[in-house]
Amino acid sequence: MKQLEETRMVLNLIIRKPISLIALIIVFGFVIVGFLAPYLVPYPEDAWGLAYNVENRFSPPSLQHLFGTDALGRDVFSRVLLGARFSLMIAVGVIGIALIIGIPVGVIAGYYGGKIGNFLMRVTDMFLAFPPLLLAIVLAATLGRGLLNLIIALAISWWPWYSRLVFIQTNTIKNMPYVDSAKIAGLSTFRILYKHIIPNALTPTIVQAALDMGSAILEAAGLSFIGVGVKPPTPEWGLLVSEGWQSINVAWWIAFFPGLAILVTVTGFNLLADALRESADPRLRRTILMRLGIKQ
Amino acid sequence: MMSEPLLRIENLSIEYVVQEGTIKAVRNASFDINEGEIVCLVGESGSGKSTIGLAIAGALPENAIIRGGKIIFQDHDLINQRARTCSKKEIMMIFQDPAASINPLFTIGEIMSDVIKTHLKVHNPNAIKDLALRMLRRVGLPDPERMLRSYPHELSGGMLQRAVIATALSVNPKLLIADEPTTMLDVTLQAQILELLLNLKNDFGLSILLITHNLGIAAEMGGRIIVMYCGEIVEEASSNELIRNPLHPYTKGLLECIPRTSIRYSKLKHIPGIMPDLRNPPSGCVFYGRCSEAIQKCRMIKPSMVQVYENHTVACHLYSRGMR
Amino acid sequence: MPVSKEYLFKRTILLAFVVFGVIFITFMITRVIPARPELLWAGPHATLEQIEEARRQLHLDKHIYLQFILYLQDLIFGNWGISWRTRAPILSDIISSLTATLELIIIAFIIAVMAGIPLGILAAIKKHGWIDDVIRVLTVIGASVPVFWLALIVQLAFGMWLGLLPSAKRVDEWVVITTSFKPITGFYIIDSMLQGNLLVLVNSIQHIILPAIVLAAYPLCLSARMTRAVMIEVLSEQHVRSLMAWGLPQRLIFFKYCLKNTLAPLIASLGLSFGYMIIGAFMVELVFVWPGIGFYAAMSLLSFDYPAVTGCVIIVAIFYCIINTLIDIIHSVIDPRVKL
Repeated sequence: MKQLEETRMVLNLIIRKPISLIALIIVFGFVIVGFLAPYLVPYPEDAWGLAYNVENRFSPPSLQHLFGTDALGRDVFSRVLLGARFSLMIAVGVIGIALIIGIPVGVIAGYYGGKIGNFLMRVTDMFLAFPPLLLAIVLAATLGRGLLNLIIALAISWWPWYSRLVFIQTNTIKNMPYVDSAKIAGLSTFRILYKHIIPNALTPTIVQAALDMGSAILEAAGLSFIGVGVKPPTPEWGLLVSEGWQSINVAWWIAFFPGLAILVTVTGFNLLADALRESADPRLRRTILMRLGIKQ
Repeated sequence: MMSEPLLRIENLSIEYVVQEGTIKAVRNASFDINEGEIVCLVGESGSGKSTIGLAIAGALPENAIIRGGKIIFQDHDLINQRARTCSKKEIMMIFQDPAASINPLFTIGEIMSDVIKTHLKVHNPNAIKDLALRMLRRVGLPDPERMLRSYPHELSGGMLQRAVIATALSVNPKLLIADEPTTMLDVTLQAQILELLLNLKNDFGLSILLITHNLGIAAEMGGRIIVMYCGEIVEEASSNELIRNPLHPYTKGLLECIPRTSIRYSKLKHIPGIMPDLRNPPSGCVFYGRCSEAIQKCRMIKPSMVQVYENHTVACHLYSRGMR
Repeated sequence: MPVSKEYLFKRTILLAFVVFGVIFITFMITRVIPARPELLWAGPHATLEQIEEARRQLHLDKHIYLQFILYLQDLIFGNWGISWRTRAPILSDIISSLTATLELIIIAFIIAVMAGIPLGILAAIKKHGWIDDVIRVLTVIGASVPVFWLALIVQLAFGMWLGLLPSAKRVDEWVVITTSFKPITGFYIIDSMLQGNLLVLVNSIQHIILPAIVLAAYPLCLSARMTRAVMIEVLSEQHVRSLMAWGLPQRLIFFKYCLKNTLAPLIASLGLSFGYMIIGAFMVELVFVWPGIGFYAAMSLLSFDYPAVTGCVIIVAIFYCIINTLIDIIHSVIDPRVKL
């Protein structure tokens, strides 16, 4: 009940500010386009990279081709639209896998502590000792190009953030009086974890994770740009920019529009995160500050 | 004819602007502090007592607005900014939580020297250091040399509060505002710090405004006691008089709350009910909702302060003319 | 306050552990996870002999524990392998390109800090006013820009279309030739100043402006947002209120006390900014043909030059660990409460 109330308050706060409303629209728009893209694109064959139309290459933006056409005469608008689907898949995949690894590690380390906990957190720290994205780069280079490999590479460099976050949350909640009383009342460890620790430790983590989707999209695009992401002709936004780069002097629009799509989408997620940070929940703010690297 | 008081508060009203509205934290408060006197401002948390202290010290948070009234200190109205700068060094304040009230990244010495430099216009480092050492010794801190070099986190709460007192008194103020100076300390330390304050008061000819929620502490300090409830002053008397003969039902309630070993009470008492919403303070008596002796008049008409005995005033209809 | 020897000692030991861990993880990823590491190592067009040679170089015929020890030994003695793209030893490739990157990152870092912190302070002071809103939205947008795309757009707009600034390389060939400029330290700006070579100085500054600004964009926004958040929190703290009550002048409270309180956590977070910049340099250097380690790494990635990629990853990771250690030490100087 309290959680519902909190959610409602946060939503209220978001909607009151026009910028947050815009952000919300962007994020929802992105998700909807991501789901429906195959049915929305005007030139499906262009979008999937199956058709070539070399006579029509490098035509500038027009009503027919809103974002112009690329070096093979494909409609950039269609490819960008379909790109939303891949970005959504990547974001959901990366965050999902990262949570699946990170949450158990954090809960176990935080609740049991001791040798196992210590070891798990040391491993987490080792992963965090890499600069962001570097681990993903070397993993992606090792696994080879491909959508799944990209997701795995990013997720493996991503989970330590969540395990540390969950670890801190669990550690705090573990020492709360209500957990003590549950122990004294003889609740089993499983029930304590299930009833007290997990709901309280996970709410901020899940919210944080949802808002991290913007960063996941951004970093995946970066990997694709330097050649360790998805394979062509997948219309992934980073790869589209990279393809457009080769002919940027002839046709700026090929690289411009996919990049703009990244910018708008990621801005949507980050503005939402910013609005949440401004909201009064100190627990959430703390976790976000930690994500930014402030030591508490 | 009595001499002019050191500080005179007249009809002071202060509001806080918060997201949910405007909190009328202090309403029409008036009282005096004479030279060399101890005045204790007593009330529950949220009664506006700390707000008054901050207003006198000129350290209100930025969302606080002084709605009206005067704070006259040595013939200057402190609400006027220019007058404020003239008398800054005359008024010093110490706070509840010494660990939170000293910047953790600076040594005690640095902070003391900045305070001394600002107010006494001394710039010779040796002179500043001498003064600081003397003050630290005066408040009973061992090894003052080391103290100057210490960071707050290296000191205990009691030592830190002494250092804070030393800092505040190093510029020789006329008035010391002590906002719950012992609340965060152990009971044994509490007594020491209070005794120190009393000693210092005599040595320095200080006036002290002690803000506390604990009527027992106020009684021990002697001097005058002003009882506040929900932003309004409800009773004022010398401490002996107030303890022996409380008039306002709220004060009576407060006194009954103090645990006593001499009387055979089996149960601790408390005052039933909750405080009214300060965004919309009641038009009648603020204590009406919790008062066991309330009469019809209390709901509609706000009682004004009336003098019942010499040096004993109260804001309660039970004592207004015609009732008694 | 000087840092205690004990703290430095502990921090160095910790650094050694972390570096060991980083090397171990890299070993696992590059040597253990792939089914046949020698195929990656020898590159996509390798002959059978080359693959056999790679197997020998990687000690793949030995036991896995021995492999790791030999791997460490190779790292320490500089046998990092030969890049088959440049046909040169990887370590010397990396070392020769390090200063170019450092120069770029340092300039970008200065831009980010000099602009980001004042912006954050401004936003914090004008909290919830329109200036704050504008700064907040702009910094959020700035932190959401894909850096490679920004590099392309800036290069296109300022370099090609407007022709305001050069948009590739560190310095023009003809300038180097006509003035017979010989770099010593590898930092062109410093070298040209030392040699009194005005032409190269101006030319290299012109070259660094665009890539440095692009690289600075993200950390600038990050530091502005951090500064704002921390400053707002600091300003609301009790110890600021006490200084006010003790009558210290506003300016002193703000610029001496609050600023230090704000800087302490900010400095602790600079490590992350640095990390983002190192990776950002991969893309920015690629676009601006800046001959640094980022360019080298990105080119190696694009041409599947696996040994070179591995070398870059190890160097960058170790460098990042060292930077973070230094930052922690600086932080402990500013904030005496920090203990290991």
